[in-house]
Amino acid sequence: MNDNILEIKNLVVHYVTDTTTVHAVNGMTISLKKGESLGLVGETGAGKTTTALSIMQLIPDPPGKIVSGEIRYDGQDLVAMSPAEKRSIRGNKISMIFQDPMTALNPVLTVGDQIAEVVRLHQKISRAKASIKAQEMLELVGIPGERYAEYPHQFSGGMKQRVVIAIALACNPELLIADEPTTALDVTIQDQVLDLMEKLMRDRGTSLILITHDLGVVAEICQKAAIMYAGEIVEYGTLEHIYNNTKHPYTIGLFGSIPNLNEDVDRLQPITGLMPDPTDLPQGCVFAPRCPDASEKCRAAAVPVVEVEPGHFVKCVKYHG
Amino acid sequence: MMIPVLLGVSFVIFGMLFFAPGDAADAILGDMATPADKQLFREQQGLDKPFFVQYLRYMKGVVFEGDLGTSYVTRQPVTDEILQRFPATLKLSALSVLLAVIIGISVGIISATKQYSFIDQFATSISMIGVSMPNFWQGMMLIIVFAVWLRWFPPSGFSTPMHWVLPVVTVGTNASANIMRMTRSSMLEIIRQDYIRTARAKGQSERVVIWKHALKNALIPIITVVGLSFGRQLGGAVLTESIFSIAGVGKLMVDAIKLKNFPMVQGGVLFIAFVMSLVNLLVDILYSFADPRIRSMYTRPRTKKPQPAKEAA
Amino acid sequence: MADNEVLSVKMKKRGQSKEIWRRFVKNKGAVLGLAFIVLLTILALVPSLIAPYGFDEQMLSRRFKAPSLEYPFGTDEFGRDIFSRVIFGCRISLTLGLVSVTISCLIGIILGCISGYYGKVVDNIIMRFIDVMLSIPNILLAVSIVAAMGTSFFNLILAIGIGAVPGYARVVRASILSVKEQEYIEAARSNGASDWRIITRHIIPNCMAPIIVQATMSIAAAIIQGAGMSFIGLGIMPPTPEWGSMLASGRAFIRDYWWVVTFPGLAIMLTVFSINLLGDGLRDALDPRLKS
Repeated sequence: MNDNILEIKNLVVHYVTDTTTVHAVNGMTISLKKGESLGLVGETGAGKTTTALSIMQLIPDPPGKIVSGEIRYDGQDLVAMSPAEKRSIRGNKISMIFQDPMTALNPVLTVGDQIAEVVRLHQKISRAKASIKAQEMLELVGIPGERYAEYPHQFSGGMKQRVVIAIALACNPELLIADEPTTALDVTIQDQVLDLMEKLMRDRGTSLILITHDLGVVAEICQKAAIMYAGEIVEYGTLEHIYNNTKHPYTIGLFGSIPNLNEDVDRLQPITGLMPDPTDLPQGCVFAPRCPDASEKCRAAAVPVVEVEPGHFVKCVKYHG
Repeated sequence: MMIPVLLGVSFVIFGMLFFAPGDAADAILGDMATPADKQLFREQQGLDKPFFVQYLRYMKGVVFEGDLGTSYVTRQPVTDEILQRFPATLKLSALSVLLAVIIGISVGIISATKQYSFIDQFATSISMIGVSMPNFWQGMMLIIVFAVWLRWFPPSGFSTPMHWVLPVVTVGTNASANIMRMTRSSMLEIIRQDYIRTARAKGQSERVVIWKHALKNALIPIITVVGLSFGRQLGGAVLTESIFSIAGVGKLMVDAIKLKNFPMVQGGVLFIAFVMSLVNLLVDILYSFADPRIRSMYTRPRTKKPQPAKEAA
Repeated sequence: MADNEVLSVKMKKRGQSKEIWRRFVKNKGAVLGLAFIVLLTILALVPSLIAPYGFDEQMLSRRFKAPSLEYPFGTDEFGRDIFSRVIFGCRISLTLGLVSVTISCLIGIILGCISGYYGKVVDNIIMRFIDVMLSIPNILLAVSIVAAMGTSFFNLILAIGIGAVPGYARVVRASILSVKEQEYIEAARSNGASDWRIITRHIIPNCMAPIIVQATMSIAAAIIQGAGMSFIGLGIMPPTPEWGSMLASGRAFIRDYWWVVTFPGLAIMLTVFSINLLGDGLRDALDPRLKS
């Protein structure tokens, strides 16, 4: 009936401290089909990582709380699961890759052991077999299997990220969440790592949520894109929709601030202003303070989500009615 | 690296005692001897030679013969006296460190994982109080309560395991306070690291995450503190040994000082400095076991092949 | 600098101190510690106002009286009121702590500065020397110094002070090493600032926080050490009511008269505890980043 591997409905996540409450995610809704790749795009602080951690059920509590909303993986609500059930999904059915490869690996364990660990956690095989599997994964990501017994500090940044990918894919997960996997790497290495990810996922039919602030990367790898701003999805659709039929003023602004090889301009056009303070969000449309097309209607009430064409959703007053 | 330090120590101690007021001849021969006798004694002992000559003679004796001089009081070789008493001090220190590590690390880990909980605050307060207590007073309090009032343990001596309890608890609990604080702060720092998040993202159970992933990384500063603790106890159990009348090196030193038995003091300090350097060396070796990054500085990477991957096809 | 720039810098500094004070007061333990130390200081300055008896008023008829309303801490083997003696002892311990720490601070900071700033050979020599000092357990070092120079209050302070020098030297040196390479030092130097100016204006203010914390902890350690030394008979001699020597003389009586050793030791513990609370509070207030 439903070939959505992941459905998030109206997710609200807050970080609560003694003094303030950070509204990190405010009513976010997206879905992902099996085998699909979604790019989650937004500036720093938009709530992308929080969303990813929510899917993994790794939000540090305290101070983080999933206040309301559903996260359904293959029909089951992740939030309602027992800790043991959640653990059996992590690394096994849903894996995550984090942004900074330099600190993602445990410095006192060998890379081989760190890969073998995730295998042994979810599959009942012997230590020896797990080590072999780990070696295979190393080879798969382009690292010689003999380097099994080496330690993370003996690898470069790009290779560390490959090890991280090996760990993430070792149990053949159905969904991979990659949080800015190439941002911390040199530009030349970025390409290699992205190619690697793409190939591996294509071969295995893995679904992907790729979190990034780089629209170029999304264009290369993903089929769908969701633009996130201040904890909300402001525009969502296929690449066609987003890139060629951009509707939301924020998205338009994002594209406008990228240098264009074909044009000859004197200055880039950034979006004026800054993202709002997540402890003190404005009423009504959250982008209104920076929007060139803003009107009174925008600040008055909550903004509805409009399907401007099949599969293309925009959260903007302009397209309502 | 140890050698220059030890040389330095011997030089400093020798120098200090050399220029100290008080004359060896007076001390040993006492009032009965005539000035002529004393002068003869000085010449025989080589005490009238210049500083450096005496220093070199002394060091030669130490290095080649293990001869640390002769006690003014007992006329026995200092080395013998020290070695006779060293086992007691060693036993006290070793047992105390063991106790301290067991209590300190476990409480520290619990404190760190349940930060701000009742256990954490309780443990932190107790350890602060423990650190503030002079351990000779703690020893006396323990004697009053457990030896005098309750009569569970003997108040002095070191012969049977029952005798060991009170002194080891005194020194051990004191040391455990420091170890607990270091474990707690080290663990708190490690738990915040990204690779701990990676381990959780693999679906690893929290227990393994803490005890394997986190603790292994937190060990380095903990090892430092334990090593320092052990070293300090070896040399500084002076007060505890006094209180419990344990025939150890510390008590020997204190008595020697009161009696102005300079060769004993000199030899004793040198000996202790030597032992502490050994402990430091041991700690350094432990470091390289605990942290592969440090190990790489000393060894070439070894490649261990679990099994050839081709077999699995 | 223009006038309003100077003013805004001054206001920023004042704002910072207020911020530090605010953080400090939030810590109840630290405030408690501070209060107790203030109390001790008052006792140290005017002991005769509070103490009901003199510190060496002997009355052999009232030897070994248990604690009571008349003698809150009981009396000792000479019939002296222990409560009064403990109060008189405040002055000794606090003086010991403060003076010895001042000595070690000064020497340590100077050594640390030279070592950290000038580096290489000088650094190596000084660090070796510090290693030597650290190889000898504190007690034995102090004991050796006192043995060589004779027992007196001043020698005790000196011995303890010297023992603490490595701590400061290392802290200062570490701060200097970490700050030395930073860009604002290069900037200052390229502006023509001399070495001395750089050290005093830029580096030392950055080290102040760890030094203050170290100093507070050292005072506590010095008091315990002083008590320990007096206990073995190498520090302050009776009848001066130093808490450690009171423990030493009371030791013979623990079997029957427990109060003679309990209260002086309790005094040491509470003093050191308050100083530690204060020190922790200072550390958290001065640099909240250091707090977990």
